[in-house]
Amino acid sequence: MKSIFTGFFVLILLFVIPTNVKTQDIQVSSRSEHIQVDSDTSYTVNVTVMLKANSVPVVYPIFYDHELEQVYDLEVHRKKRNRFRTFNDPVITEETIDLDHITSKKVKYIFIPADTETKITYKISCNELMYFADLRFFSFFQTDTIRYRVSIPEMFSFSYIATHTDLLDHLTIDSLKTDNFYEWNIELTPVKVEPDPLMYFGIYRNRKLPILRTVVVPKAFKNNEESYLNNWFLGKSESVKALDTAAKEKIDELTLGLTDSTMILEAIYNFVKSNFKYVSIQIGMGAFIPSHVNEVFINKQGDCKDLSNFLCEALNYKGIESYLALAATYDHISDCDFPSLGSANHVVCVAYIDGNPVILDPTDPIHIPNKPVQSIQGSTILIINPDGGEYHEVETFSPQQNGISYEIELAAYSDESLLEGGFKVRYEGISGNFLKRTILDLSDDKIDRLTNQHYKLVFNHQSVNEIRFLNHQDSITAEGDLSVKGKIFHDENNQILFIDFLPGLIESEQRETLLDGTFIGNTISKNVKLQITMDRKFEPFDPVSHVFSENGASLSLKISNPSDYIIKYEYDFILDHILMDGENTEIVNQILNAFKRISNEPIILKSKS
Amino acid sequence: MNPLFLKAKVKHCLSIIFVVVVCNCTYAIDSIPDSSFNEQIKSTDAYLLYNYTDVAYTKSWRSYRRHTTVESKMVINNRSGVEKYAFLNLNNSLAEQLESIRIKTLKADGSVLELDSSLVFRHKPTEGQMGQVNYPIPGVEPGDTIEVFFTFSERLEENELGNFVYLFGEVPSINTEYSISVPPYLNIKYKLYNDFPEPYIVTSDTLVYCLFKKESAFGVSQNQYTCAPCELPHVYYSVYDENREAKIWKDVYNLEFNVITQPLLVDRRNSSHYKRWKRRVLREARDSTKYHKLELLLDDIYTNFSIEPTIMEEVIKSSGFFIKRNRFDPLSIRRLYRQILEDLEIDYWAVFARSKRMGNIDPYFIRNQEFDHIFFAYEDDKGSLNLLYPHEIHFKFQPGEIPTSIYNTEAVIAKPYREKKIKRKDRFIRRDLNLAEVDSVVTDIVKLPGMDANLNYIRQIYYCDVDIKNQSASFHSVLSVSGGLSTDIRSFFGLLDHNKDVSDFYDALAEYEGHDISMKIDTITRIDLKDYRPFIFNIGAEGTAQKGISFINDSIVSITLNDLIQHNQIESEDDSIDLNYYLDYSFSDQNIFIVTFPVTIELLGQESFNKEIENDYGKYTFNLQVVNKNQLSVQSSYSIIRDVIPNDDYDQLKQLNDFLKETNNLRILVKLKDI
Repeated sequence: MKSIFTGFFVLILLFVIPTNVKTQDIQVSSRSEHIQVDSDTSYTVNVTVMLKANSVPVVYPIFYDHELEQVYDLEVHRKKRNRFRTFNDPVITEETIDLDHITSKKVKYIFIPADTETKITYKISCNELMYFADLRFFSFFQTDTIRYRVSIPEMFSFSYIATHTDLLDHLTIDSLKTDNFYEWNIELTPVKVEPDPLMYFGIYRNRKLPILRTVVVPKAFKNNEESYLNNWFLGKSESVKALDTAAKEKIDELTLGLTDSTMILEAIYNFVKSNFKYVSIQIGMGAFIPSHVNEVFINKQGDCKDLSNFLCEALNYKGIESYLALAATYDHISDCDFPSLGSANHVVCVAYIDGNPVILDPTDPIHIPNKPVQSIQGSTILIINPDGGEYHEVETFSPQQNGISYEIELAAYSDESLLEGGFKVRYEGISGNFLKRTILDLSDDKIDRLTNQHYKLVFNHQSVNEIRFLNHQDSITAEGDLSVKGKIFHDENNQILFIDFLPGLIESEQRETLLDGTFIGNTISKNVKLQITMDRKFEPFDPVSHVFSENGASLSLKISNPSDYIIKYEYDFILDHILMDGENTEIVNQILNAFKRISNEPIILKSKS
Repeated sequence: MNPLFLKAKVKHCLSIIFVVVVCNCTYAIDSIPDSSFNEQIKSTDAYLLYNYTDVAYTKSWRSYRRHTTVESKMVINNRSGVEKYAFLNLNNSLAEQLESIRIKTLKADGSVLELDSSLVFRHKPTEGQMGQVNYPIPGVEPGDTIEVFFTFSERLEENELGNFVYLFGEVPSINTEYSISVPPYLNIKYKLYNDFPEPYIVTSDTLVYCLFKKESAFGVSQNQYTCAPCELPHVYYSVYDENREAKIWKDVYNLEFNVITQPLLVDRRNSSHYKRWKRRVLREARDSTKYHKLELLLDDIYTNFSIEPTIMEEVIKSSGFFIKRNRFDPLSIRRLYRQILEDLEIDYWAVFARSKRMGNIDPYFIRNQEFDHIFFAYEDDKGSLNLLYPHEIHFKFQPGEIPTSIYNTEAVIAKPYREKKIKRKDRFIRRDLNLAEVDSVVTDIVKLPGMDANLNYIRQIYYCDVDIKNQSASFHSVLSVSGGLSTDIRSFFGLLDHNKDVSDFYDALAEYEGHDISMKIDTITRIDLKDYRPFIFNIGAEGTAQKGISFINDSIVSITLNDLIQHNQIESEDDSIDLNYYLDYSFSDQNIFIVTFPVTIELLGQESFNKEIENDYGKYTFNLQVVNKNQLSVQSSYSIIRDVIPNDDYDQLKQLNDFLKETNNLRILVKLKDI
């Protein structure tokens, strides 16, 4: 589930660059950008940044792609007696951005002395108009005002879509037409983004940022921008297709004797997932356009677009119609529902079996066809095809399809304060994906150890033994022995039973409540049945039930006694969300807290004489 | 930590990264049976068919060169092996010195793919930028073999001629060799550690050749507690000119102690601040002993001066400059300490120490730049050796307090041999910036102090009062940390105070882990620190119990031990470990709860709970009983009594931790009587 196609997204780079630049207290009074599109589809950005005086020296960064962009006319001016004077010898260094992938991204650092108001001016030019894909309405520095001026020749059309502008205190967008240009003037007070170290733990709270996604297309494509992006992508990737003999021979060998399209698809998909390593090399336009299929085949490596492109070509070669699709993963700043390169951060392959689309992600080693690709569930993808492109909603499994069922049977030995028995569990759909990822590529010994540890945690550190864990393609099953100590008590009148060892509601999360930005990974329908056979008779009681239900999350819990000796405890938990995004976090946490409270309460049974 | 050491450490770490990632050398143990080795190479992600490193030293005029050739062949067993090892990783400084490189993928079908090395260098970090070349090796699938060949050459100073040879790595190796060749006018001196096999040596008129070799070497995995040099076979060698003497302690003293401690007398303008400060602090103590004066000065430094990062422009400023600004940096504080010691005419030693998990110092094979801790020691009027560790940016040491990483390690102390008093001109670095080097030193070996589990402790005592009417419990508590734990915890707090990034990271970690606080502190009532061993640090607090003590009904209270008891266990998640665990210190961790009820109570089920486990490495005791009819006393004590846990006895650590978890899972029910 590696998603890279981040390309030029400086905003993504800024999320992951572990530099102290972000933590500097840089005060910007204004940042102005004038984006001038030329008729030859190149564009230039004139940037002016006004920095307030800082009490300590700071370093101002300029990020750019040295393959696609040129930074020039960089000047630093210092304010002296109400006038900015050019600083003749500014200290400027340049570094390659150090990321996990090989990239052509660089950063220029401009050293700004303390107690000096400074003006930085520079120009960035780029020959690829599609690269102009967003205007950011946020800043990592305290910035009073950002001004964008976009000048587009009348032969082009400028389209945009704004996201999360409700987070802005001030935003104005004006447009006007001059002789040969359309001009947009945008002024805003940006949102200051604080670095959030929780992203190191896979919690993405900074997803909701105000941004203007943009695309500039020839006037003929006005209101049909996705076709332009589709055709642009098709045109750019035309030259990286056409499998050579060696690749074809290998594909033939893999599919020898197979006639069923589904089986052919599975054979090729498994080959790519197992034998190609994920490597992200993003050099210039290589950040968007896949490498040649034969290069990918020979090197047995590539990123999402490279592997998906090879997979598409291999499937097409075997007569299975397949196309690339631009996608946005759950941690991306937007959905891929607007034809701008900024909308996507991932590429997948869409194959058609009997006319039905099957989405394949060769970077997700545990994905199997006809199950949702976990990282893009419920999002929009843009399928790049010869018919002008097509938006498609990615399937999400319903909670019922992602069922988890536990059956636990225990016998009580109250004199020893002991409950003993066994459990069985079955994970359907993609509800067991978190386990599949944990045990991927591990030896049997390690799988035994990890599954043992996992169920020990599930049962709140009780003793689990003889775990038999089976990882089927479509599901996971596990069973084992369970021994619970210190949860049952009795005096002359009562038996007291604690059931705080029951499996929690969301097994893939260790936290008792969830944080905003937590990616659950799948919807859940969890049924847990616990039956305890007591060793002393007790007075029957009326069944007790608790029900909580609100906005896609529900818990139904029931305690009953089918006989004088038997206690039955059962709950059904349904979660129809895959990402905690503020609106649903509170509701889910209320249910989690309620469950915790109830399972901490003892069951008091009146002893029967 | 010794500032000069950082440079050496970076270099060392980079070369280690290189060795581990690219070479994946193996370690040498002779007594490994072949069958288990064969089992290991089948079951690991990858293994080395061979790994050869050939190092040649040459001298040209007055400069030296080291030319290194590395050749290896690694078989990739599975997909995980591809993900981990099918990458070329070179540190940037090494990449700059590369002369040739050839990386091939030998496919299982017999075909060969070669990495275009020009691509590698096209994407290396910008000049002057620290970083790594990390480039994927193409075409690697499970079952393929990666062949690596590269050479690089380094220009070295005379004191850099030598190296450690660690023939170990995380993947097993069938055949590993490391050879050294020098011309006859250079000598090789080597020493074998931990039963490293004797090398094969050839000498001729033109060459001295030394070959270290190991077949069938197991792969080993390391973690934060392991110490490879402590137990794995390795070699240290140095190369020196036949006309020169081998390194002696005088060289180490001059190069590594003098440089960072000798006071400066360059900016005379500021020197008066030092004198004024000293006069002020010692005004009331003119007639005291010099040791008492030292105590007063150190106390004033501790209380009134901050330690800030070094600013390049201030490196040659005198102590007065910093005193005027009420701050020092890690270098100037060392110079100040030395200036004070010499002013007070207190006889002092330089202490050269090495962190425990970096391996022992060898006092008889002197090497430079291997000491990550250099500080002071002086003898007081009672003849006791007192340690004086300079303050760091994040932490100020009390007199006698040292970093826990050097507890119980052997250190070398050295001081100049003088027949007369030190001359004033030899005390300072003056305008010519020449160091006053010593001609000879006297040395000794000392064992640095550590503390045992009785002194290294963390103790949390909660006195809880249960309010039956409101069904709640309030508490007042005392947290005491002592010994190494006191040093470590205060040091950690200091780091959080000074480094916003680290503080934010730990805040995020705490939020992510989401441990709910059971005992919520409302007020901190006191904080105090004893400035003498074992540096007991106390925090008094008051608050309310959020979890752990809850009413089931009007007459039964449930005690959830898991919510109340929080111990700091040594992690033990793996089934087995390859190397011993080396802890900084043994320690004990006590949780005590005295819960007072307003009525008589009894425990449901039994009268008391007593559980205990003890083995060679630790002990866990749990005791719960009713005292005075209305008080519940809960005591949980976890202690690790040895600072080394051998890998063979690792299951004893697991046993201890498992027992603790099991015990803490128990529920306790308290019945309230006479209500």
